[in-house]
Amino acid sequence: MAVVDEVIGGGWPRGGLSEVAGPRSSGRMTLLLMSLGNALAAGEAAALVDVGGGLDPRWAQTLGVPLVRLLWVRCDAVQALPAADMVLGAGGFGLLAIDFGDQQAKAPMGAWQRLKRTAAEQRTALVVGAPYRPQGALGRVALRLQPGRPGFAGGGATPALLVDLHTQAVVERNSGETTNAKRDVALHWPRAV
Amino acid sequence: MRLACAYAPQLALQAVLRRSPEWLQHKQQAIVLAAGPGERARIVGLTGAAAQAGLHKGLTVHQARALGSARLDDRLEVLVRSEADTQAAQAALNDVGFSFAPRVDAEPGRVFFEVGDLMQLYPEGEAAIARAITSRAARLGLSVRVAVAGSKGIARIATRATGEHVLVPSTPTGAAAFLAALPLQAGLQALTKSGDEDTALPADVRAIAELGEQLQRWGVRRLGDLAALPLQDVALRLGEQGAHLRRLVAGRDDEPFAPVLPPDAVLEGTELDYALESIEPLAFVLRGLVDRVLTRLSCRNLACNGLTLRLKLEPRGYDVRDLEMGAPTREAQTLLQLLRLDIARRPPTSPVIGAEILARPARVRAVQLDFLRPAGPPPERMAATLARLTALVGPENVGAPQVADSFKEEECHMVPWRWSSAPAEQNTLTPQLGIRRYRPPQPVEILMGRDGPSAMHGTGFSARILVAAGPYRTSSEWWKDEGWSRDYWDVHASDGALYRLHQDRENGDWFVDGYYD
Repeated sequence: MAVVDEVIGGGWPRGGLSEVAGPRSSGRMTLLLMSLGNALAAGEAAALVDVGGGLDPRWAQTLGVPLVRLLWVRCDAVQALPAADMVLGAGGFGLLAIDFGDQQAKAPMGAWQRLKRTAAEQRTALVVGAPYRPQGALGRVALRLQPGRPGFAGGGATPALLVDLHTQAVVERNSGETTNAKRDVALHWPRAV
Repeated sequence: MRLACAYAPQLALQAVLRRSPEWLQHKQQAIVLAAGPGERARIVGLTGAAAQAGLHKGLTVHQARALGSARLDDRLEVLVRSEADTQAAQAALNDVGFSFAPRVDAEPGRVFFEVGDLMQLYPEGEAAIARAITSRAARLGLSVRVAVAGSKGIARIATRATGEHVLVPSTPTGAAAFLAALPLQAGLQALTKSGDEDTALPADVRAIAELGEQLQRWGVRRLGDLAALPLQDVALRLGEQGAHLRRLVAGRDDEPFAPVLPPDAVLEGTELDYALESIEPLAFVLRGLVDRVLTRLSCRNLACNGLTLRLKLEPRGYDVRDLEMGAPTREAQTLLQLLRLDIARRPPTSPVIGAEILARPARVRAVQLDFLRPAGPPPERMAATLARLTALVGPENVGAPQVADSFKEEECHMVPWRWSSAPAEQNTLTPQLGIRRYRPPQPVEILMGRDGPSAMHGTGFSARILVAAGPYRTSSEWWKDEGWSRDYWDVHASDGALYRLHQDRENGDWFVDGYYD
């Protein structure tokens, strides 16, 4: 996470929208969970709007996320933005992550504008994760994760064993500006035992 | 000790009127309350406009209509007494008391509670307290007369005096002086513990009528006349009831204050004149019930933490459903949305002819703020937000995740989420790879090769398998009927994803649990 923080200049911007795009097995969920865990560890209130309900609490617990303090909302893609708007409207949340799972984040531009305005009013960092960057969202930070490369041990005569996943993050937008020089960030996720 | 008595005259009629606020706004409307359905039912209550037209209790509905058509410009409205409405109105009257004092003493149509310690809140005096009680009752759709006195019996008589607010001195001589000017009828009416004469026991009514006739024959017209008679002689001639009234009018009352505890739940109900089959008119009826429930809860500074809706079906039977809230709320729109969603999900099997809402109250607690830590969401707003989220996605989808005590990887629980400004945890998070799960696991067809799965095909998953790691065999609960045994595989597919698969060893079916992400 320190690598991502360094590249985007000190973490997800408070009061702004950030986008994380990545296909299956790109480490998107790990990145979002790590962000939520860090916010909770810092004493902030944090929430996850989870389209499809893909969160695995065992895994989150292994990461060190204090589950009892995480607000988890399972919903479908249509309910995601209204649910996020409600959470933001309550105020007091440090981080709100919306994860669209395998679904595309489709919403009118007005809905994204409304969400951004509420996040700015409440000083909440809003992070949206989806397979592709949501149309019309235009966040202050946009991160695109590349498909991961898994590492296996063994093979041949001995059974293969999944060990880790390597992925790369490309910062496509930072501080509200499209970055000309795209920076690659190497991420390494060892497999939970 | 200073006791307030809030008396709701004609509670049965008020109970039916408060069901429809539009009737309360038309105070000039001639309305009569019938004891039951049909033209032969007796009139047991009527509004001032109906009384001015010459109608009175005891007439049949048919007689009242005949008189009304001759003497009234507008149509006479005939309502039928409802036991559910009357009980709800009585409970609402008790809530007026509970909104001022922790303990109240209730009887039909009246509620008594201690107000002696409210002077710090109302430094203007007891008149301000009485005004506040009247205004609180009006919020709950009830019109009350309030008397403040030193004891229950005297307060009961004083509510029969003219004027909305009556303040009776505490001392026996002061109370006697106040009561002396009241007509004899005020004292006699207060002898029955039922606020409505029509709900009093017939034996009581007969005994009090005989007592009144006797006193009239003696020339007693006002309570002061009775107070001037010797107690021993009155007791000798009129018995216990006469002696009790004589002691009361002399300002001496030994009736104890018998407090009752506040109810665990708030119940509002109504019976309908005709059956409802669709959700829209039913939602209209429920809106009224929800509004009344929330007003009663807010009077006691409580919020709603859950609902039980009981629909009375035609021709018989009930449809009962429980709704759990994510957090206590006072938003009518949220509760109504929850009810509508539940009814739409599982419509009643027959037309509805009655509805009851039982609300479980909860206190919304304030949170102590901290100088050095983030404040977090405000509890009151968060409660409403959780309730709205519950209405949007269902109660099973909002909360805090909890790891299930099970060997099945995909199982988890949702527990109520409560924000606590606990000290920040300084543990560092270790990035580790985990699985984004499909709930439930998705069925998939697998082509097996020599070293394991070699291709997969399913809805959204069609790929060759490049590397397959496994199998990892797990089984559990074999000592039960629902025991299971699975072979797990981690596979790297040609679409770039790293899937977690399992094969059910009982039937050989394959499923995708999710993918590493």
